[in-house]
Amino acid sequence: MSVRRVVLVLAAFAVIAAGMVTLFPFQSSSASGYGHEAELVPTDPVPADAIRVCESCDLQQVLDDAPENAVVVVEGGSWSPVTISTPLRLVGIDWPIIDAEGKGSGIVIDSPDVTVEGFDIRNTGRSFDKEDSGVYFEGERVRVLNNRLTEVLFGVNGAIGHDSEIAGNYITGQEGVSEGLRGDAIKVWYSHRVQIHHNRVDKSRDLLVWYSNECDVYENIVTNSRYGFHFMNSDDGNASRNAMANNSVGIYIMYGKHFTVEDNLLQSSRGPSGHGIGLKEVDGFAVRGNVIYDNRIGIYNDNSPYSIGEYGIVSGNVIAYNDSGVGVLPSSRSTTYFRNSFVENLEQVTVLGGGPLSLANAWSQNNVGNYWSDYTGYDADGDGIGDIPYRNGALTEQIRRSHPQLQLFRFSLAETAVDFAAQAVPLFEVKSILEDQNPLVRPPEVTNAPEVWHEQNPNRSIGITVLLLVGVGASMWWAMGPSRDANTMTEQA
Amino acid sequence: MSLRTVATLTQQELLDALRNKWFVAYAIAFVLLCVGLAMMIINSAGYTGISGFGRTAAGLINLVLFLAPLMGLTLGAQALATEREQGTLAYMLAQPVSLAEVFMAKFFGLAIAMSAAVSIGFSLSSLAIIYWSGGTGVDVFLRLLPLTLLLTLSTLSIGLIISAQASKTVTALGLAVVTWLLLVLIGSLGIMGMSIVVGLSPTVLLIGSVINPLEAFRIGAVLQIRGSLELLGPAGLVARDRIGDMTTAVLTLVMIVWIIGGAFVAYLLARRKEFQ
Repeated sequence: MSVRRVVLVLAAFAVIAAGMVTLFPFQSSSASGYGHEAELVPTDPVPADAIRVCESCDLQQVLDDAPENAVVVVEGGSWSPVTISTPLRLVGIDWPIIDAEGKGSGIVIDSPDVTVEGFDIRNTGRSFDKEDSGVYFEGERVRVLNNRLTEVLFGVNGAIGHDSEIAGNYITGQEGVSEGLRGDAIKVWYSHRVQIHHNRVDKSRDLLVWYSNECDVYENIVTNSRYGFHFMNSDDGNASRNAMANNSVGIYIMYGKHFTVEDNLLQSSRGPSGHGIGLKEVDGFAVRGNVIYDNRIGIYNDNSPYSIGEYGIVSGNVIAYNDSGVGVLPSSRSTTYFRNSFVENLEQVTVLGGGPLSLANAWSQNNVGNYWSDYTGYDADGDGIGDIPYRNGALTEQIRRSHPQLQLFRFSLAETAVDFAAQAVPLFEVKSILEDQNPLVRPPEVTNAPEVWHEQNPNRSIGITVLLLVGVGASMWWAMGPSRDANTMTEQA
Repeated sequence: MSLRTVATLTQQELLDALRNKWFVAYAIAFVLLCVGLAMMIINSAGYTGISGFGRTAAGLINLVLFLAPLMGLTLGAQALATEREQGTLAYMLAQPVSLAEVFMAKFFGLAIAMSAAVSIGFSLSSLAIIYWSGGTGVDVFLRLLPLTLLLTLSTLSIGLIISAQASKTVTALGLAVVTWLLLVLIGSLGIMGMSIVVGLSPTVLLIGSVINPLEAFRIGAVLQIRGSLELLGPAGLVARDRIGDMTTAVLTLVMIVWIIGGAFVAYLLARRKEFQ
């Protein structure tokens, strides 16, 4: 074998290794697959007697002069910010642009019963004091439909606007601004019965519903923001079929009563908080049928339900591949968890801050428990329910709770050995933090939640793998094949 | 020193590796276990149709930590000791080849053979995942390959240090297994125990761990798969805040120092043993 061969074989390995590193840099499961379009919601047809705004008209003047309940149509073009003070319907066709040129808000609505649809609103100011917004409204029954809002501080910002509707908007914050310094894509303040749906939000701060009761939030897609949705002091809210990915927190509910969180996808919430669903002192909640995937903590429960006699139901969720499936503070109680699938979470259930989990939480209802991927029991009578209870908690989990610095040894063989020894030779009892008397042996039916978004590129993987195999095979064959040098070498010797 | 001689001896070493039942057994075990784990990863996702990095996939880190050092240490430890025991080393050194050439050939030959075994194990399991699950989760294997190669070579160098000293294969193998236990279990358990008793600061904990090439691999693997070290608690956050983007580079450097430094020390020891 010649020197050249050795060098080439070693080089081949180096190239393979370097190739792996460069071709597989870490990618968070970026949610770019959702695209940058909102699904538009159907709107009423434009009537024949609509006021059509000419190209050279002053849009503000037209709006001021328009009679009540008029329909004003703008076709394309670029316009200055406007204020609407009469109940009317403003329709944009071919995406007319409203450019605030970095000052103030785009469209300010100062009247009830106003509808704005089909506008492309850009470049609002940067003042948090004045809450510069793409669309700002104060008025009941306002509808903000199918707009595009880019480079805005706040997106759609409403106050005292009961029975309003915010739907089909695409909203994105300013590029290159850290999430804490962005505004909120949608903010609703003291506005009851607001419908927020089919919006597509990217790179914003929060989506807030504050002091607003009976709001419905459904089929929105929120990515790369801080809070997917944040309900605060709002009662009887409902969030369903939303897809929240790559946010710091998926859906966070604080201090309200009677919430339903149903069929949402909460994926990769990995910010400083990193909660899929957070429940803080919420009185009465039903978390049903959500897919909670790859979050730091899937469901975070801080003292909910808060008042005596209130309920908490967590059922039918798929809680998979989170660092902690469910993280609860020790004070949390009166919550029933059943029919959930706990799949491959690094820790299925964690009590945050240590201590045992209150016995006032139930892990099964009517003899139906949860599916646990690490359940090691059996189901001899074939009724779908395991015959021995599921107990949570490995010895190292228990040690880690009191000595958090030992998290450094996660996935080490030492840790595996400790757990194995604790199981094989149970000299002392590992305190399990929960016991599911009726564990399911098969996961219940999957839900109506949006599908988990995977960055799939099998072709690239196949290519790289085949290249790797061929490369290794060829270099080995070449390295070991007969060579003339060997003979010359022997002769020389 | 003639590079051509090194090359020829390297080739001989490769052929010997293929004839070595230990090596073949390791290679087959590695490939089978990798593919088996791949099946388990696919299966764990099967019910819900969602795949990801969970406890099963984390088993890959355990598998590599278990098998790669065992392979590197025992094969490395046998390398010179066996030849010395059989007298072939003395015979070879009576020829116009230097100890440096023989030593380099040992290192390169074993390095190539083991790298090939690891690469084949990883690529076959990737293919299994692609075939049965359409490619989700395949990244885990491919991302860990460079680190696994580094880990294997680090332990090979440590094995050669043992081999440089030992006169008998049995001694070398015994020492290799003890070293393996030390690196895999006792070291970590010791630090864990000390941390509980004395309360080591996260920085000390981190440095104390990373010196061990196995721990460097593990931390690097978590970083590669998860993209951050926050899973590793306070010590992970120290690494994030103090070293930041350089973490992978630092961990790689630790292992490279073990590879080159270990091999060099092994050579010096072997020279002392042979020519004293």
